[in-house]
Amino acid sequence: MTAYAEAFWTRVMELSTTLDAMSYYQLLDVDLKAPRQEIEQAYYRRARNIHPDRHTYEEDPNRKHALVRLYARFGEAFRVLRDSSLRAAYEAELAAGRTRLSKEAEQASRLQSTGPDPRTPHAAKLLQTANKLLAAGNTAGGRAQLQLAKQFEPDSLAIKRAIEACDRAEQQSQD
Amino acid sequence: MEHPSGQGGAVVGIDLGTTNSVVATVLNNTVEVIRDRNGTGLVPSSVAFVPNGETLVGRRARERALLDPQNTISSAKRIIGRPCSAPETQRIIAQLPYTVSPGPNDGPIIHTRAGEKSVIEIATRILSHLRAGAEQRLGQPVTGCVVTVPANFSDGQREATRRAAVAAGMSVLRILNEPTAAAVALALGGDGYRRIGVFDLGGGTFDFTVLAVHDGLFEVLATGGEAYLGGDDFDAVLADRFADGFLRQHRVDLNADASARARLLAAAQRAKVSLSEQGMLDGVIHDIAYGVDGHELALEYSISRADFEALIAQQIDRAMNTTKQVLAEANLSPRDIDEVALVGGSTQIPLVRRRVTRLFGVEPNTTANPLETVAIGAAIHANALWMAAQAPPTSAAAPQEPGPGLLMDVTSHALGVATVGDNVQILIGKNTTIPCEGNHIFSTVRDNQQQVTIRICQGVAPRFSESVLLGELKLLNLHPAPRGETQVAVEFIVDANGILQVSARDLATGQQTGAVLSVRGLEPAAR
Repeated sequence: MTAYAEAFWTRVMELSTTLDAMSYYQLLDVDLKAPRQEIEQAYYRRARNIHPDRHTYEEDPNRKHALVRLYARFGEAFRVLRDSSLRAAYEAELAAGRTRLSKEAEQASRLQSTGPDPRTPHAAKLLQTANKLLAAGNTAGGRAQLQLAKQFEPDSLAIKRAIEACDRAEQQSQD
Repeated sequence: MEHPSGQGGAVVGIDLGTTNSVVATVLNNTVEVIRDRNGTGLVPSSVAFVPNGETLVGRRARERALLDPQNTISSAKRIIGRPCSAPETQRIIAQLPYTVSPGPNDGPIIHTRAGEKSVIEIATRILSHLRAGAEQRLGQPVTGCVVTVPANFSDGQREATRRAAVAAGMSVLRILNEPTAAAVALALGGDGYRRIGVFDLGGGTFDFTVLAVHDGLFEVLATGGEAYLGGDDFDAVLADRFADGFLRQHRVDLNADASARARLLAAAQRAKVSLSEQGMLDGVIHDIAYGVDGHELALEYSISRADFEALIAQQIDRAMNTTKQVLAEANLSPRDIDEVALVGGSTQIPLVRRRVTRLFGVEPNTTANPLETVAIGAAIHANALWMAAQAPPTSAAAPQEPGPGLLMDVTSHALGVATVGDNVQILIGKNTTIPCEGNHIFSTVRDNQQQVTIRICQGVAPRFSESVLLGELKLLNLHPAPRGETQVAVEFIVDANGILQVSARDLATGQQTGAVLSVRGLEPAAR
């Protein structure tokens, strides 16, 4: 084992005990106000060094597991901090004393995100076609388009609402 | 020839394909594809069980496909690690000339004259054959390998492939996504920040992957695919068309006879390949059936490239839609892609090339041999992993460290668990850099409950009933307590192979508790 590698593993094992108490900012060692570019630089520099593929010489399963957890947490920190809406949601979690963004908060943030809905041009096109068909009274055709759109973006509120409109239209035609 | 390992053991990259497999290795800093005496690196992924008790693999097995379709196993990759009773699996099985039935835990079992064989056993036979071929060429044992799989492969399919390689006597350094391997092979020597799109249309599946290559990192931004879209399907629609014409002309259904169907598929496959080169094709298959009066009947066909393109247009549309969806997941437009690489035999079809060129506005990269690119990338990565295992680094990585670079691949499916009602809690999102981790706390719902069963699903459907059931996790030997008091924290790790690892801890005692993961289509075994 080289001196560098020994120091590296000592640091990994230290971090593995404090991981849950550290914020994403502390992990990546960046300022709370750091711009996205700085976060990217910090992450890529660290990811390169702690990437498990760089340390395949190590055979101790405890050390290997600790490194995988650490690398995974770095990835999580980067995924959240690089995305402005997730980062905003994380600020709220931090203010409440939590160090990680929960999956529930993440799901909620995606639904509230102010970006275009649907996000993808493809789903938007499908929704547009569906609305045209629905306006022409072709509920079945519109529904088929919407179901396809929903496969692309299951979390889109706009698509969900259009499907509900479809349901209501069918209900009315049955009444 | 000695491998740079110099320790009597070589590591190889294996592209275990639906139709053909390729093996490559790094020798003295250059990648070499393992070739036979005729210079071909393609080994048919076929296993034949012959009446005299012999088992043939590779080219000699492929030669028996028309003679004895029920005992010649090809395209087994299409059903490896899949739950046999799933409707999609049944649809594939209906296309296969051999008999498949559900075995333990719904894993597919193939009935041959040599007895029942699991699909993993068939893959093991192929991998052993590839290993033996490589050992003969290299003059030393092959100890380790990187085996590639389609990026859209599920947990069960990856694990089944891994088990087959282990059973073939190799240590599995990595289960690697095919498009990622292709990018590694193609992006060598590039400079600066570049985005690469890999369009991978093979024999059985389709994948599109976007990567950013920068400073020696291969960072996958998003990946997505179609598990049931490939050259085999194109052969099938072409064969159906031939059979329809024959039925109308002679009132004989060629699909009712396994041997006739096998010959039809073989002719369709050849016609498909020819139509990539020429605009029009006429052909004849002699003695394919007998007429009512006992006369031998021949199938004559005449097909243009335009006819063939019309037959497969819908399937190519699906591939293009998936491609657009992956770009959207990466928040990119087609114009953001600097380079597009075509991988897999089906990308030789002119229609595919036209559609890809039209979408991206750049000519796709066709300099490499699309049939060998994946194996070459796998060999480069196998060598990188092997080298890293030899000695610890002496310093932190320099930004432009020489070497093949580090891969940052992603999950190809979201992973979630069933919760109350019909809801799904997503634990790990799609396109998350692997290895990655998700946690969830489960509690008991009855007094003195000693076991909790958790259903795990794949995909992003918000309703459990609409998602794909991956398998079950059983938490065992919980200590008796009033309901809700026992809480178990479960850690889900998707490892670098894209394979799920699970561990559970009782929150009250802090002790590890028994957790048994059982994935549909796979026999339960330690991972």
